[in-house]
Amino acid sequence: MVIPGERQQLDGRDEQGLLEALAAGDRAAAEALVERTYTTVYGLLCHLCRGDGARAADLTQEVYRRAWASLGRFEGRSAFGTWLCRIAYNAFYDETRRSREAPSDVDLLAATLPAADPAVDQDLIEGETVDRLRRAVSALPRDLRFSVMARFWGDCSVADIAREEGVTEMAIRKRLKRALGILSRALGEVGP
Amino acid sequence: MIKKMTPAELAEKLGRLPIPTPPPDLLARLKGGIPADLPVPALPSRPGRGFGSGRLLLGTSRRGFAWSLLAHAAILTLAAGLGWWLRATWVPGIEETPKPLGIFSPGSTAVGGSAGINGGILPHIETGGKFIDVSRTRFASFNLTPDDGALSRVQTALNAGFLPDQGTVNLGDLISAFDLPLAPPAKGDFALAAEGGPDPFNEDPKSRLLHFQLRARDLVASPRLASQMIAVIDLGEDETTAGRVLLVKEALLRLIEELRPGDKVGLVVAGYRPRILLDPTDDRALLRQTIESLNAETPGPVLPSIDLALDIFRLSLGQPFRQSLVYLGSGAFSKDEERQAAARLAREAGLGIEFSFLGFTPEGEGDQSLERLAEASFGTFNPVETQAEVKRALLEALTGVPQIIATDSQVAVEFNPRMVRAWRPLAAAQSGGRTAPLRGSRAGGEIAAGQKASALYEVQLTGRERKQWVASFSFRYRPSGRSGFVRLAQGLSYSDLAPRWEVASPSFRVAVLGAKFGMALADDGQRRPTLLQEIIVLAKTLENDPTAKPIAGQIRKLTELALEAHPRSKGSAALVVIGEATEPELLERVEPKVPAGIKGGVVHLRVEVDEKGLVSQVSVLKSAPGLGDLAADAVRKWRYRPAQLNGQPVRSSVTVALEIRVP
Repeated sequence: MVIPGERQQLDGRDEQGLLEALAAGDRAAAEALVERTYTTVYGLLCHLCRGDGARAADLTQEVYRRAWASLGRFEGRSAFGTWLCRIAYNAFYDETRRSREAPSDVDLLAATLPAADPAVDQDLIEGETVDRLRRAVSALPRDLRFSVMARFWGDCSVADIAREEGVTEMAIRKRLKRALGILSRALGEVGP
Repeated sequence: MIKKMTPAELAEKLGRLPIPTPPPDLLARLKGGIPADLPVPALPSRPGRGFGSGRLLLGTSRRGFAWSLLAHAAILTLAAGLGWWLRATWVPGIEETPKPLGIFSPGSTAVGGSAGINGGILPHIETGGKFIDVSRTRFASFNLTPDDGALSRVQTALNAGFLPDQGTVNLGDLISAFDLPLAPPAKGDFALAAEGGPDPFNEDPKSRLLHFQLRARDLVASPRLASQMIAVIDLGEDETTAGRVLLVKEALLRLIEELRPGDKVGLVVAGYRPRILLDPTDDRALLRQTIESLNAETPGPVLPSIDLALDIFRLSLGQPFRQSLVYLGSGAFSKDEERQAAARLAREAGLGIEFSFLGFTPEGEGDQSLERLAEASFGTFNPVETQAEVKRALLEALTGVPQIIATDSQVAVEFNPRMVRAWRPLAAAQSGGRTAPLRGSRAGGEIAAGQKASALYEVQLTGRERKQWVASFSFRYRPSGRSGFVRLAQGLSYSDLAPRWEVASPSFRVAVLGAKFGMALADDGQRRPTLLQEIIVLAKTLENDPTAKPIAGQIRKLTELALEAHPRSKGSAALVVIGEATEPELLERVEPKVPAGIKGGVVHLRVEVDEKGLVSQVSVLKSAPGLGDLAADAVRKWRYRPAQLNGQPVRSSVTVALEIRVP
C-alpha cells in the first residue's frame, strides 16, 4: 500500500532538467520520468477504475504509450505530471466509451448510492466510502471532473491544471469549490 | 455508511484516498515500453521564461506568454461548447449564418473530447501575435471579468517614473479600463455593442479593428438597514501574496463611495502586530486616509485580529445595524490557529454577525482553511482575484444584497469566413511574444451588477464580398436564481464599419488608443517612442469630443508619462511596481516629549518618506486624546533609509504605531 502523503513530488527544477535531457535524446531521462510519475498515474487510474488494479495497470501502460507517441507536442505549458494526468483522463474515458460503460451521464445521486457490487478494495476499512467518493467524482459535471481528479488524485498544482485547461487559476479554484460543494451535498443526501 | 462531509473535509479525504501498490512488474513494463526513437518535446527555447513562470507580483495571477497559448485553448474549448447554439442564435441584420465547422458540431468526436492529447478536445493554437485563419476557427471569446486593477498598476508604475513590467500589461484588462462606458441596458440585464473601423496605425486596406462591449445593468438601490462592517485585513505579505494589499486598498476605496448614511466601516489589521486601525466610522475622509496608509508588513499571527474585530462587535450588540465581518487574506494559518479561530467563530456565530472570508492565494493553499472557518461561522468563503471581485464581495458583506446578476455566462465572437480571412485578438503580442492576450472566458462565469467588459480584434478582410455581416457577438447567461438561459446577440455588418478613423465613434477610437497605448508599453523595440507620440496626437484630437474627453485626456497624460519613463533594467522583474519595492528602514528615531499630566496611549501615523529618507509629511490616523500632535512632531524628525524601487530611492509611505508611555 502506498501512503498518499508519501507520493513522489516532482521538483520543478529536476523535472526541467530531465525534460531538457530528454529533448537531447537521453533515454535514461525518460526512464527517470517514468519512475517519478508512474505511481501517481497508476493511482489516478485506480480511482477512475474504482479500484480495479489490473485495469489501471493496463491503462497506465496505454498512457505512457500515448505520451511517448505525442511527446513532440509536449510544450511544457504545464508540468509533465499534469500532462500525463490529462492523457490518463482521456485514455480512461476513451476506453470506457469504447466498452460502452461510460459513467459520465450517470445521475449524481444514483452514483452515490451504496454499490450493489462493491469494488475490489477489500483491504480498506472504508472501502465503501472510498468507492462512493470515486463514483461521485466520476459523476461530476464534465467541466469540473478533470480539475478535481488532477488536483486530488494527480497531485497537480492549481496553476498547472489552469495551464493545462487553458483557464485562469481562479477559474480552477472556483471549479474546485463548486465541485466540493456538489460532492458534499450529493454524499450527504444518501448518508444514514 | 458514509457520514456527511463538509467541502473542506471532502478535500482532505479526496487527497488522501489510499492507492493500492502498483503491480511489481509495472515499472519494468513501462520502461520497456519506451520507444527507441523518442520524439523531441517542443519545449520553450528559454526554459522558465514566458511559460507562466513570470509571476505577476501585483495581482495574484500569473501573466506572460502562456496566456497567448492558454487563452486560445480556452477560446477553442468554449467555441466547441457554443457551436451548437450559435447556429440557432438569431443575429440582427444577419440573414445567413454559415454552418459551424464539423469539429464544433454536436456529436462529433472533437466535442466529445475523445481524440487529442493536448487538452484532449481541440487542436492547440499558438498565436504569438499571428493571425488565426478562420478556416482553423472562426470563434473567439474574451474575458468577461477583466482585472480592473490593471490600469492603476500601470498608473502607479508610470507615476513612479518607470515603464510597467511587460508581464503586468494585460491588454484585455487595459482595454476594458479605458473604455467609454456603454450605457446600461434600457431593459433586461445586459447591453451589447459591436462596432468597427480602420486601424490608424496600419495602412493595409484589408485590415480592420472590431470592438465589442458588454455592460451589465446596475443594481436597483433599495432601502436597507444601515450596516456596520469590519474588514480584517491580513497585511502579512510574502512572495506569493504580494500585491494583495494594493488590491484590497483599491477595492476598499471604491467601497467607501457606496456607503449610505448610517453605514460604518472599521478596519482591523493583522501584520507584525494585530491592531485596530479604525473603529467603525462613517467619516469617509478618515476612512480614505486610513485605507491609503495600508502597507504590507512582516507577517504575524492572524487570530488576534479576528478577536479584536469580534470585540468591537460585542460593544455594539443590540444596535439596529446589520453587522458583518470580512476577512481578507491568504488563509495561511497554522493548524492550531485555524482550530482556535473556528472555535471562537462558532461561539460568536449566534450573535447575528455575517461572516465572509475572501481568499487571495494564487494557488489556493489557504482555501480549505477559509472554507472551514466559513463553515464554522455559517458564513461564506470566496476566492477572489481582481479588484472587481473584492469590491463585489465587500458590497455583498456590507449590504447583504447579492451582487451577482448572472451565472454561467459565456461570450463568443464569430467571424464570417466570407468576409474575414483571418483574425487575432489585439491583445496578442506584437513583439517579443510576452504580452498577455485576452484571457479565456470560462473563468467563473459569474457577472456582477454594473460589470463591463470589452475586447478588440484585428481582422483581415477577404475583400471579396462586401455586403455581408463581418462578425457576430453573442452572449449567453443564466439570470441569477433562474434555471433557464438567456441568449443575446449583436451583429456587425460591413456597412456598420467606419470607413475612416476620423468618422469612427468616440468609443471605438478610445478603445483603439487604449489598446495601442498598452501595446506601446509592451513593445521593447525601437518603435515605442514613435508609437507613443502618435497616440498623443490622436488622443489630443479626441479631446474635442465631450464624451471622450476625460478618457482621451487620461490616455494622453499616461502616454506622455510613458515617453518620459525609464525602462526597468533586465533581471529586475521582481520589482514591478511600488508594492514590490523595499520598504523604508528607520535609521534615526526621536522620542516624543511628553509633558506632565498626560495619559499614555498608542498613536497611529501615516509617514511619508521622501527619496532622501526625510519625513516629508505626517498624518495622524488614530490617536488617544492629546497625543497625536506630540507623536507627529517627534516623527517629523525621524530619518529613514529611503524605500527602493529597482535599486533607485523612491518616495514611500509607512504606517507607524507609536506607543507613548508616561514615565
